[in-house]
Amino acid sequence: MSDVVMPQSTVLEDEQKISYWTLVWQQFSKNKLAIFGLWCILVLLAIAIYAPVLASSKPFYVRIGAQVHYPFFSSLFDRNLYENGVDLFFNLQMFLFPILLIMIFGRVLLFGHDFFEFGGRLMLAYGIVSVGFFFYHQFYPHQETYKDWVSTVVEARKQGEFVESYWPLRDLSYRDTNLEGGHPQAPGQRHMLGTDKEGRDIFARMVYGTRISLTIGIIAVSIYIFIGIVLGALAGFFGGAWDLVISRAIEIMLCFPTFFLILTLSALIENKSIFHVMLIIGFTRWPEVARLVRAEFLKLKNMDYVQAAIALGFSRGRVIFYHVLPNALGPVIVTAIFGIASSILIESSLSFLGLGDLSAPSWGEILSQGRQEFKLWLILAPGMAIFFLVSVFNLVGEGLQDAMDPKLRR
Amino acid sequence: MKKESLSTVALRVVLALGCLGFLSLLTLQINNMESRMVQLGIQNDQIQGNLSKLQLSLRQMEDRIRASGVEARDGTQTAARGAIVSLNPGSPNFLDGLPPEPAPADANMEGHYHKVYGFVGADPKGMNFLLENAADVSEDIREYVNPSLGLRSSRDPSRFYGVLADRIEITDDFREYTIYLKDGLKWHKPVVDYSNPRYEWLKKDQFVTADDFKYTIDLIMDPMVQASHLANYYQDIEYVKVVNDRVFIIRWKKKTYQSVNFTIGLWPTPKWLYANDEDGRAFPKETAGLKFNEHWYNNRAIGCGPYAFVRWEPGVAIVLQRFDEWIGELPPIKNITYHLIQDKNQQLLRFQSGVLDIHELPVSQYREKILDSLESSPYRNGDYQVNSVNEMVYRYIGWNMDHYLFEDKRVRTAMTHAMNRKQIIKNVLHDLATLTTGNFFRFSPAYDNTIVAHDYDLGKAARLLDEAGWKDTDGDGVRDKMINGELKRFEFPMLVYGHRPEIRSWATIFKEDLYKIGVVCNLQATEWSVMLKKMEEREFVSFTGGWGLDFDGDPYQIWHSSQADLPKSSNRIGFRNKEADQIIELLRETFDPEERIRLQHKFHKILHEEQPYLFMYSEKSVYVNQPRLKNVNFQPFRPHVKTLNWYLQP
Repeated sequence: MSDVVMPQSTVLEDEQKISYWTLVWQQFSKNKLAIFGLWCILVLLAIAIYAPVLASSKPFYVRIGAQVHYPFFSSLFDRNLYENGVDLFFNLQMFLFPILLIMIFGRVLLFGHDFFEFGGRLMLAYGIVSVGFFFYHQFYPHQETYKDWVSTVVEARKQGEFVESYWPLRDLSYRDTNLEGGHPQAPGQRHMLGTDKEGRDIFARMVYGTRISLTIGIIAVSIYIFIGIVLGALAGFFGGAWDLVISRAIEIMLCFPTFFLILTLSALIENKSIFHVMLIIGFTRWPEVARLVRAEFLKLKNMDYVQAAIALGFSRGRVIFYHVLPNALGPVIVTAIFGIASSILIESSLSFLGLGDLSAPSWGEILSQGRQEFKLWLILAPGMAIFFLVSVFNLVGEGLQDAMDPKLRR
Repeated sequence: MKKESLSTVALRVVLALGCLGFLSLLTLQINNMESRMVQLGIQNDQIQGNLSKLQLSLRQMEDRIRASGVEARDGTQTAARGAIVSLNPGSPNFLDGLPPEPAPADANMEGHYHKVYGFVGADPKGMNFLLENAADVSEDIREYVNPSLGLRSSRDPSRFYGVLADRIEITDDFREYTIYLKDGLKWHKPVVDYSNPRYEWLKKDQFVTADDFKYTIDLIMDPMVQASHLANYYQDIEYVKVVNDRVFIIRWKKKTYQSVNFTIGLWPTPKWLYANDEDGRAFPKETAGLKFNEHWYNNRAIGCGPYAFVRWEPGVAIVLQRFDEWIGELPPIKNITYHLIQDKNQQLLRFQSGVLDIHELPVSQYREKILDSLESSPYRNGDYQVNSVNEMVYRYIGWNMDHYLFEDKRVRTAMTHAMNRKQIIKNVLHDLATLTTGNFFRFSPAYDNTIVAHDYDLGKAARLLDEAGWKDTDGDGVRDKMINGELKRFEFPMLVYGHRPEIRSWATIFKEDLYKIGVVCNLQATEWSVMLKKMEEREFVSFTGGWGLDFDGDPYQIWHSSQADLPKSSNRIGFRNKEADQIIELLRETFDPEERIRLQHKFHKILHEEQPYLFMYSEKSVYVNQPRLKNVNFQPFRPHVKTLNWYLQP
């Protein structure tokens, strides 16, 4: 009975009611490296969400003569400027994410609620609002006419008008090409991390690239975790023909070298966007998860509480999703976190090979240009960033793995 | 955690240091071994070189003995194959061009020349010259192994000199060509394992005859043979008549300027090899064409030229060796190895380590090694020789003129105004290109220099789009127009050839400039094979392209309206213009150089007026070579690199 987890409704006899995830969190928070990793992820997330505040060619506030404009805010959901759905999603998070944080920390700190009890519903609501807005925007996009605010302001100043403007940290967007003066340029005053061959600012591209990397990691992994769980659960719980078919499918998928399969698939898609890359990664890496879930289900389905649930006549869906799945999730979540790291690497490799999305400012793409151009700053910045992001996710994954292992519990 | 005692820590440190030391020793050893092996390789090459020198002098001695009349057994044969009498007395020899300067008499006749194969260093699909469409095969191997009847003279590109042919007589209407082959043209020995009795039938010496040329034409015309890329050019042949072993006549159905090129560009195909299976049995007539497509010898090359094919190791190298029985001027370089390396950086490393004799610098390497390097770098202090050559290629963006977006010439002109060509050439290509406004080679007289290129002017582009009715009526920042009662946005996909970084670069810049004038361009980086398929099936709105020119630059293939509706034709964009058609047809029948130039200039003006393409630039290649490579010169037309009179200093 050592590592079997009681269903959440069971009350432990001796101590106060404590959920499994609270226990895991307690263990996890003892691991300093993992906590450091978690903080780093939060910082990266903040960078990703507030990328336009760090680099954007739209000023927050401009006053020319008597006219007042707020281009930054009006352009946040401009589909012409932010071509990628990813950017629109993150721009929305600039407002939603603080609300989420306030709700979480407010309840935890002020009312002493346990995050792991209310967290699920809150995150679900949050997800629905974000995705709902995202799809709404896909169908009813907001679009604006291009206006070059940098030169507008310069022109107005030249003509002696009264000009007042507040700008993001750098007044450069990741799309601004520039052919004057020879590029790529080494890091300097105007371009903190230099420019690429098209004269685009590397700092801006790196900052926006964080968005791409994180999205790729999270969405691709969600896709394959979902597929893996469903197939694994079916195979493990029902056994028989289900198991036979799904296990063979898993074996077949495992036979392919994944990266080459991904390369082939990505060559087949003609008009690639960043979402295709996520889908490709998602649809090729599920067997690992399915195998894991299947094994857990095989083990758990013969447990007394599951048998009891079946005997009570609960529907199969209820038994699978309410009774077995929560207890099988542990190892899956660990795989998922490692999976995020490896998905980010795969995306970078694809972009590096020139098979990614041409218009997305992906780190791999910058790296690939660095290799062609032999420029150190084009290699160092994205290289270090990829290394950092991947290590940080791996640290958290390892921490979680240790925290979930009852043998290592302290 | 338990605290470790000092001794364990010390032990660990010592162990770690030991490991480190061992690893570094290992690395050192491997490095030593590598350099030793390189030295051994060089020694081996030298020994081989000496050996072949010996062989050559032996053969020369033999020849001298023969010439002095000690042995006259071949006498009868020579008489029969002696000088040939002209069939059309009085008509001049068309092959009056001067051949390239021979190498100096004291040039080293040994030497092993190393180069990357073709443009990208990728493996060819096969080595059958009739089946391979790739320019790589024809430029790097075919002209060496199996040359054509004649070639353009690099000293006067409007004239030809004979390679396999001694003499060509052409009737006044340019329809009938009488071709006289050189004497003693011998086929190379096929590369097979002669210890196997199965190949006994290949041991005999074979000579090139007029039949071999007829066989080439027959194969090209055979619908079963996969040589449709050539069939296009040769379909106007009326007949080929073989007069005797060394004389044949080619007659064309009509008078075309192109017939000169294609007749003289004809090469022989050995019937004694390709008409037989591996055991020497002839294929049945009905399936001979199909069998030719998958002939057992297709992964090796055969010819009668100055170099013979030796071997092809896929992914490693293709090796040629001088054919010392070649009747023409013997090239000084004895062996040629084409390395199959695709990565440009790896190519550069191999060049710098001295393995490759010549290397073409891509733009980024040109900037790194020449523009941004110190005076003392080997690329600038003269240690390596640097040459630049104007490629007979132009790059462009093609618009689908049957698409509602690009049917209006004002729209196409606006696109040209939105492309910052001058700055792109300066900054992205580092002046390794010349802006071009038309289809003819930028540096040929056919190109009209008086035409002024459209400048980069987004304001003008926006005005032109306004005039053409493309305005942002619904305020979404993207131009739109009512077409057949439907509001269409100015948003289009562009197929971008993903393999070349500079094309991706300028396509991106173009996209960002278009965004500023309310046009959305979606770039689609595409593999060449997919792109070709889409272009052939007209499933595109726009694409980035490149076109390699031959010296004449006959516009028919791309620009004649008759080609616009043919499947898989080169007029992919659907260009139809009556005046242009007339000029194209006239050009095909005009032989007077001045009149041709006048017509070509007129045609160039029409293209500039219509802007069917957004003509970008004509490229310049930069070659660096090791100083040991001597007499390096480049042809003004393709193939630019031709080493027949180069030599390697020992």
